[in-house]
Amino acid sequence: MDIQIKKGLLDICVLAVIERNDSYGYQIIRDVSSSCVEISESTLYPILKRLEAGSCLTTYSVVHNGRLRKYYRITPIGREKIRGFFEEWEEMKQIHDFILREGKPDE
Amino acid sequence: MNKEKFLAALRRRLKVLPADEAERILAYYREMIEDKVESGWAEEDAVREYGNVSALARKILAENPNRRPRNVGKIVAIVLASVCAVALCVTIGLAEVLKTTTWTRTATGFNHPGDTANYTYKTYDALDGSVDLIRVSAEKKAVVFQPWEKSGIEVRYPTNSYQQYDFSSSGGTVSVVNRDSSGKNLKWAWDDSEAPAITVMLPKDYSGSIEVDTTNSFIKASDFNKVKNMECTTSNSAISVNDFTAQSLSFQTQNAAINLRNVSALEKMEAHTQNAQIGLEKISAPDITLETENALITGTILGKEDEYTISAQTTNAISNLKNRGGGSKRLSVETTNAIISVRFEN
Repeated sequence: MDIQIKKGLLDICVLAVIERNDSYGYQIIRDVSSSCVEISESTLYPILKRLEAGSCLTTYSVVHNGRLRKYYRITPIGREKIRGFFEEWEEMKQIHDFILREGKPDE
Repeated sequence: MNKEKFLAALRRRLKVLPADEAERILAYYREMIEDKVESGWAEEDAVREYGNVSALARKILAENPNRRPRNVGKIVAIVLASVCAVALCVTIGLAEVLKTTTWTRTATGFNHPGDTANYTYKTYDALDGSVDLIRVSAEKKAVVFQPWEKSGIEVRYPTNSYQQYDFSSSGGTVSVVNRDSSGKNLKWAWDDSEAPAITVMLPKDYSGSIEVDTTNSFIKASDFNKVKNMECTTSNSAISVNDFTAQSLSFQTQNAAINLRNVSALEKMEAHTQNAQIGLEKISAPDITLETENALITGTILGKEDEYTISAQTTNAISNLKNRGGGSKRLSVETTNAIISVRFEN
């Protein structure tokens, strides 16, 4: 897949996981990898950083077994971004259907 | 490798990042490993998943272009702290002698004919104690490692009013940190004997590790055969190593060549550069990684081609190596827009 498209889609996948429930690094990797697409830790870090910079999520820390675990929570802007993705998807689907129709010989 | 070693190795390679960003990244990976261990992974396996630390660090640095400003004020604080450390070390029995031998050299920058920098050379000696790591972090200084007949370690270094040096010798580690506030970007020819150089004299059979990073100047090392790990990092300048054997070797530069002659690693060797060649002459290791862009990888590897599992990844390049499996040794060569011409020699 084109790398720019993939990058954008991964951002949405990560947001979608966090939208269901606040989550933390390893949990996000597992959820995205199992239901969407394989994602590595080194790929996830810049995604989280980008989403936080874009105010799509906020972070907080929780003490867990004597260490701090960083949790990510979606923001209203983050929810907007997911909604925007669905709208774009509708538009993309229409174009896709158009191409498909136009490409077919007359039936 | 265990978690702490991995994080320490990663921390070293992320030194160029702003401190808070580096800490965030390290906390992220620490948390990730600890969560994996908690869900049943063995610590070593979790760390192994990350593969080569240098490659991971490069990926992280590529995603994050911010760089840490090199700060003279901080160095003053470190120097003060290390003076106290020296006093403590003397009482513990680790003898250090700060000898001052003074001679003056005038160095001229090739790209700045009117630019002369006067240096006074001094020496720092770490005589006693067994040393298992020498760490040199410099700016705009060549760093050269040479063997000598004595059993101690001597650092000969160029100093002037723009230089800050911080030396420490404790816990088996000798550390030299140089910061250069001259603000001049002198570009030295890669084999310039007039370049301001930090020369580290080591016993011929030095068996500890070496970590060196500098900027805009070359690194040279030759004639050692018991070194444990050596890591050399520089920028815009060459790394030249000859007649050298170590357990593992790692070389990183950009816009300059890596030249290795009669160099052998008992475990693993990697060389990474861009826009410059990797030249090999009679190198040997069971695990070799060579990577560059827009340049040539050429030379000879000791051994037989069929001993190696070879992965030759090239884009827009001509390579004489073909991918093959089934070897007990590993050779990975990667380049773009270039030529790979590597022969095997017995």
